[in-house]
Amino acid sequence: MISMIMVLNQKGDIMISRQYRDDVGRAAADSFRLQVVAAKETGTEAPVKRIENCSFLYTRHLNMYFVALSRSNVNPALVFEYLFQLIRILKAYLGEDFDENAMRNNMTLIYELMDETMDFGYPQNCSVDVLRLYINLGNVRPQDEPEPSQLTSQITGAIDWRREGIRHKKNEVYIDVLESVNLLLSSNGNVLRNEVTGGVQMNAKLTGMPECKFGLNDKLVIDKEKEDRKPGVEIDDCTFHRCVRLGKFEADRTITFIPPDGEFELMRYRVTDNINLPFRIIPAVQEEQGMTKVSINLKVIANFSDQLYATHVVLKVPVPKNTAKAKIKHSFGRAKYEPEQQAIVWRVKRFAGKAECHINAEVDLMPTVRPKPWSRPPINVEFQVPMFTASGVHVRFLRVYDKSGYHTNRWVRYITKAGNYQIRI
Amino acid sequence: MATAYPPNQGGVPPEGPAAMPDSYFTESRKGEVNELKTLLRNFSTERDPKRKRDIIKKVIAYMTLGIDVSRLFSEMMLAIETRDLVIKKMVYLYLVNYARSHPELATMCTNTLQKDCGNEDPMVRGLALRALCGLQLPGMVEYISEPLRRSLTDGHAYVRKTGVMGMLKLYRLNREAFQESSFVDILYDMLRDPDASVVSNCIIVLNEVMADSPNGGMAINRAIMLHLLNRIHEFSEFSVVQILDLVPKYIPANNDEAYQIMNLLDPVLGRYSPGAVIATIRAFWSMAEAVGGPDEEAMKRQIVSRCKAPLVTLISSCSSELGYSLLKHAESLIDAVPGVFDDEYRQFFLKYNEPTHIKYLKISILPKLANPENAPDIVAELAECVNDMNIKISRYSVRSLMQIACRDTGGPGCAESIARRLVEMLDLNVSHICSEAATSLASVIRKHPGLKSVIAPPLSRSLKYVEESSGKGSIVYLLGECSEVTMAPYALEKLIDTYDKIDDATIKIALLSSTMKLFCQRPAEVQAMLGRLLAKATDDVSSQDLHDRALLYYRMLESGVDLPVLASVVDTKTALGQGVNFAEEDDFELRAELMKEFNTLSIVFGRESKNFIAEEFQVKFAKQPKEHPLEPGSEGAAPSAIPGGGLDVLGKTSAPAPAPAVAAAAGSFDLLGMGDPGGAAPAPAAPSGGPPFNAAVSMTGDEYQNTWGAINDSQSVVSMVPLKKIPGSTQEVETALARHGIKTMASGELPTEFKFFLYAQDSPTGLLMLIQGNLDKQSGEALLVLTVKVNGGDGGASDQQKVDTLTAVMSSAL
Repeated sequence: MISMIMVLNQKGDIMISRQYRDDVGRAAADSFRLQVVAAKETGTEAPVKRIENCSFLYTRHLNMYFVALSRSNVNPALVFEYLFQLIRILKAYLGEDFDENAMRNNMTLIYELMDETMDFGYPQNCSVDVLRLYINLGNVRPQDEPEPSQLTSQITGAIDWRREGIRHKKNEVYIDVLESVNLLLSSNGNVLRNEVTGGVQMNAKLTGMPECKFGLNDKLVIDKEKEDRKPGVEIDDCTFHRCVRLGKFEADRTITFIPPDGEFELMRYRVTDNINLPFRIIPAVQEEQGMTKVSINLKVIANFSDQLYATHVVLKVPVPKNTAKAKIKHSFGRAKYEPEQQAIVWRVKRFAGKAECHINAEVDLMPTVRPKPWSRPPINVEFQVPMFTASGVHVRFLRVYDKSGYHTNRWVRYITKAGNYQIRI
Repeated sequence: MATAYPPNQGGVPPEGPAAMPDSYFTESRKGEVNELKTLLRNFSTERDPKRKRDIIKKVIAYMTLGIDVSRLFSEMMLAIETRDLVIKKMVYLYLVNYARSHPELATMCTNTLQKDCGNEDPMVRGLALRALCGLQLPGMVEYISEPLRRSLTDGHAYVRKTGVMGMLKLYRLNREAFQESSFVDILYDMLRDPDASVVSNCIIVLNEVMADSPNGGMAINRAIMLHLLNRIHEFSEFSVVQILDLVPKYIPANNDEAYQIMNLLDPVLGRYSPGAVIATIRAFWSMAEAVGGPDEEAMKRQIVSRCKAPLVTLISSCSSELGYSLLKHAESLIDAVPGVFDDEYRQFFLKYNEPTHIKYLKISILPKLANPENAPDIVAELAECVNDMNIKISRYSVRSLMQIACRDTGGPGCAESIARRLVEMLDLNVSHICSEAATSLASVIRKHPGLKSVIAPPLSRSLKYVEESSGKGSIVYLLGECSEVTMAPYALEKLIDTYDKIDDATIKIALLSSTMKLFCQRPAEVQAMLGRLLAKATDDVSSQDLHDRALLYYRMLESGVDLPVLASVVDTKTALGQGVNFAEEDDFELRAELMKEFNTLSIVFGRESKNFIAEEFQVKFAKQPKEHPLEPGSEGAAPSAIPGGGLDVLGKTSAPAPAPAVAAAAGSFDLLGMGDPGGAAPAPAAPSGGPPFNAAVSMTGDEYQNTWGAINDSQSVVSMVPLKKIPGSTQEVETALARHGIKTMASGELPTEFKFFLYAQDSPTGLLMLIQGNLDKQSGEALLVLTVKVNGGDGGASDQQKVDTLTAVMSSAL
């Protein structure tokens, strides 16, 4: 079990500390400050640290440390999950990027949340929607505050993620399929790693306790039905929000659920086969003898339908530290050498499908006393392609059944983003 | 909450010796507190709940700032009488905060709290109960017990859930008071609560309260386990882990049940919850171990292949902290079942912007995945990482390359290609890479002596620019091993000439033994420099080892030992045989121990919990239930074992649950009775004509279970013994039977019946008889129903005869 949760600021001062057990004291914060915060070891050392017989598990939000302390042999995944859940709850109450000040101004609320989500060192109900119903000291108030007696009936119960008696004038469901493509290409064009992780975000504004059935073009389902023209997508693995009936999914791969009200992530999935890479990049980087010049040649091809376009395309082509200047020739967008990034950054607001672009750069280097080899970091690509999925996943249907039989409007969006899209040079 | 940090905010000056005198602030604060006091007392605020809320909020804000607002105690207590939940909550917060520092004030408000525990709003009841238990005042036990007991039968789950946790607080506050009241039994009963969060809290509390019992936590039996597993989909991501953690402790009745449990758990792998997924893997693992036998390894392999996809998804999509912990767990699975993760090797390639601790971990996992198919890719990737700017990453990558070569899992030619890469690195002119490559080559050569010709050429040249001492020592060692290098003696000679500049003893020792090895091969070339080296080394007193070795060699040479003899002394024989690995890679014992503590910090630290967890926080791990294969109901035979057969899971929980509970709580009442480990099964046959049963026989619980399971149910004989009256306790029956050589393995009293597990040895034949007795208390007729299995019997007339003797003995005894 968890003995204590602390929130420290950048300097290692305690902002919030809630003791659930009396086997650790505030002195622990000092050892943490000395050994972790002052040593600036986040990132280089493991996020689990043992100091004086006490285990510290920590994560960060902005520049704050969220630390869980325990003396017993706890389950690390569970502790981290709680910490993230806590941060998620605080985000819901205090806004996405809540900072130190927001924390200080809402101490009462935070303590109250910490009391409700954890009792005597064991995590309790952490669902934001339910917490919101009865903890409303913060900025966030439920739009229609129900009667107190009604309130309490939702705190527990079999369906703890949705309360009864929700009413919406218009019944609407927004579905966002968000995919991020991870790619790692070796310098000679071999695919080292390639996968798509996707998530289905839903925003359900539905009346009552509707029963939903959701379908993707999952290969296993499509093959069974045998009527569809296109082959389905082979989904390697998927995980679901806890509202989804897993037993049903195991049996016949149908996704059925009673959704929480508002936004939630219905599922996540991973696809590794037959991925449509939205961008092909062919690099040629040459260092000249004597390390005075580097020449960079890039060809970028947008590998998707010309009906679509990519936005926010950013290519970061790394250059050596001692770069003096770079002469860049390119066909569109804006490119320039940015010394603070140690890279040539090429930005394109709108990149049409099937378009091709070349970029040539001559980089002059400053002579150095002791030439250091250049580590040649990979080219990093960022982009967003709306209405495109790299995995080929699309939503086949969403059916909503409710007693009253109302009509539901459904809106589906797709977007593919670059996750780790890197090309080694 | 008394520990809130006093920040500098909202116009309140910082504490401590700031620029202005302290008294000034105290004054001003007092003023503010007084103002609040008058505001709270003001009649008009009574009518305006919004205003009142704001005032109380202010009080709480001051409290978290560290300002003493305890003077407002009585006013705050008045405010507790409200219908406004928010106000109420804040007042409770206030109360819990000041309870420790002002115990006398806190006792004053217990009445109010007790009254609130009976409020019509369940939310208020729950909050009041939590506040009451949270006060943690030793004198309060008597006030807490009653509301707690009431809360457990409350109509609302929120109150019950809080009440269950409250019990744990009571236990921590005063163990005697807790044990006096029969809370443990109630908790076992509450495992059937319709609300999942109540159930999971029950498990938490039972585990902690019963930590000192032989079970090391909650006692579980088949009914409880199946009941919980059947409801597993109702539990939230945190509470589901409580149930999953019980599974490894449970011994399934038979293999079918183990498979059944695994099927029930399978859907959990689809949840997006790392904690639940890992706990499920552990549960699966334990079931495979319970099945045991020749299939165990194959089953574990299946389990890991089943869990691979969800685990990889989690690793690739979750945050770095969770990713770290998951990777550690994946690593131990890879160690336990090599080969299964091989095809996912790309998942373990480094990403440029990952935190370094993850990179280190991935580099150390990669060599474990190498097989002939993927080895070229993995080697290429690691070779890429060698050029990383981070020195540690580059060192680790070289080491990982070496490990692939030494394990020889990369198929034919892999070790050689790695050796070639390492040789290239020697010439890279980057000090840490050269040195690390040299050290790695020394290990590779020990495993693959055939690669000497690949390694030899650059050695003498690289001796000049390898700077780090470990690397330099390795090069010198390699020069000694590869005596066919023509330049070897001359490269060493230069080093010998600059002997005084070497300040590291390891290099000197390597130099000494390498020169000796070369001397044995090519005495003519080396003789002169060896003389110079020995002269220097025998004078060198900086290292004892070096000095002694030099002296030994010197005296051997002086006494004119033959060259072959000398060579056999000098040869260090460090080559590793086929199929042998370096000792540190084959630490099977530690790995097996760690797998027992899967899903804990032990895996993250790579150490057993006993080595880093303080003793009072260690939790005993015991498999249970020991008695339960004795319930033949689980095998569908002898329906007398469990009332109601195997139909209703919910109903079944009630009957067997309290028995172990009582047993464990009382501590003295041992369900198993026997603990004799030395007892061998059939004792030598007693001479015939004596008492019908051999009194010297004894069995252990495991033997009993195995024997019972081994005999087919169709061979059992059922018999009845009429009793004069229903016995008062199991003890009565046991002592009476023991006098006639019938021993008790275990017994228990249920509300409706007595159960006995007995055994006896037939004196003339030496055959063991296992007896199960049931005595129904409710039927009014005192009839002990026996189910007897004879070990080694033929199931025919002779068995029947033995059972008749037994029945006769027992009826006379009772």
